[in-house]
Amino acid sequence: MEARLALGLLVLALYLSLGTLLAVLSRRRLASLTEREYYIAGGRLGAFLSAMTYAATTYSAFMIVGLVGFAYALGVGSLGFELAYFVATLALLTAFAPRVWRMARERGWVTPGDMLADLLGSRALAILAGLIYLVALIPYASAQLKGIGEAVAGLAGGSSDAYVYGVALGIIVMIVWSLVAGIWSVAVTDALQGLWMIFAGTALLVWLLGKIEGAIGLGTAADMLVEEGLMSLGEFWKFNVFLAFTIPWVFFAVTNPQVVQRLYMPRDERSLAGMIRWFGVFGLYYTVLVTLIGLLARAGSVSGILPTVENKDQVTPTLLSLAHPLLSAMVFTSIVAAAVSTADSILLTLASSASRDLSLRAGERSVLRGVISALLVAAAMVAVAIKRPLYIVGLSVASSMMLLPLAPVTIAAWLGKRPGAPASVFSVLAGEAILAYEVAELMSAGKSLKALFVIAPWGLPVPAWQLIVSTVIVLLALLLKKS
Amino acid sequence: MRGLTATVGLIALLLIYVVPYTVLDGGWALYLFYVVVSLATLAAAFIETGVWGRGG
Repeated sequence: MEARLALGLLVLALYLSLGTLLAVLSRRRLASLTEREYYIAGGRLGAFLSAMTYAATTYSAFMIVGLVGFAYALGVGSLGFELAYFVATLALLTAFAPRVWRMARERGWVTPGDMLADLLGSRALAILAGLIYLVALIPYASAQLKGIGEAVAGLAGGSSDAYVYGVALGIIVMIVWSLVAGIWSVAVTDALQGLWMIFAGTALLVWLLGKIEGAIGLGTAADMLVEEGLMSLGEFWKFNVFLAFTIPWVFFAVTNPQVVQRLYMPRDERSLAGMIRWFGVFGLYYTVLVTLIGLLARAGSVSGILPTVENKDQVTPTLLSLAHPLLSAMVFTSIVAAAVSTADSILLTLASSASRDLSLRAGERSVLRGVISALLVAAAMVAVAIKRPLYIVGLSVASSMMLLPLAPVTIAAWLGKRPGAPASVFSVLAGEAILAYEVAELMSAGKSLKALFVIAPWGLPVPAWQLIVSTVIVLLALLLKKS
Repeated sequence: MRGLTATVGLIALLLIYVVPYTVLDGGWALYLFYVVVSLATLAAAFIETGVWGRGG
């Protein structure tokens, strides 16, 4: 155990040292201390860095911990859920990214709030969006920090001191890697993190394949999964549940500011094209990889090669406790990498949004204000992660639904339609009101917010109602303007 | 070429919502189905973006 801990910490230390070195070296790329340069690289990122930062920001620790557990416990529907996001994102990116990229350069956008205010003619909407980003994404980023704390605590045998050290280490890395050169240090370290995630995940899959093949053969394992019902949608993935899980994710590329902002960054159209292509390769490979790990682990449990895991979040930690210590250390580090790459991107995006979108006077905007905003956001993330309130998981789960009402107005804006400022704000508020009502109902009934994904008021899941109501308001406003 | 990925992606998304609940009852065919529709969308993205920045 001690050797495993020591090796895990050694590999992590080497990895963090390399990342910090890259972050510091990336300062050479920072041409000036303007907001455009600091937050969106002055629109000068090449295809490789654009793709890696888009992918590493999108794919969080949920993949190698959460999705592995989902596939283990809930089977092939987990692959369908994640690939619904994937195909929708490719469709949205190819349809809208060139237009958004071009307008961002022409109009000098830095944040998604700049885009909404400019295209929809509403500062109020930019402020509302900025507030939604903060409420939705601080718990989500805190959950990443909590994940690092738990990974370090797990490595140290569950010590609560180790959890605090893990959280402290995580936030220091996130602050340094995101602030030392702004988006340049984030993008360069994201590239390292993305490659590490792919490499470690592949090594874990190869180890698992070898273990299963050596014990029972892959054909037998495949048959076992079918017999266990893991290769059908089963009881869990009822149609409404599948809709509830996928609808917010289908619109992720439109609603999440940290990925929308990445559309402003490629240096030319070819780099933008490369970003989409290589994000696609990364996303499909990584999704298939982690779901196969979960399914093979389940076959291992059914056949008695691996222990049975009751809590789906413990599937990856269980595999790590059985794998060779070096492989375990690499995958453990990849979990930290996935969490850091998602959270530091969110940290920088929230800093840019808080200092620009929530700033009432344009003259007050500066990188210094952004750095101060980032430190305040980081303090909030640490406070939430250390206190570990019961609602952190629920809020983190609900974050995708909080952002969903921004989808109809954003798509209307990208299509060149202007529903008007009041209707745009009302559309977003109506979607949030539906979510707030359902959250209040669940809380008053003493239920977990995870139930948001399984309830179906009036026959449809909550995200479907949010999307329908927000879209209808936008469409009605457009029709009224036309008439 | 413009709109190819959006078209293929929308069809793929529709199939992901419909086929597993109507036609495919499970088994590895369902796994392959998810992978194949995703690969088709990725291939469309490669084709469509291949001409970007070259006057296409």
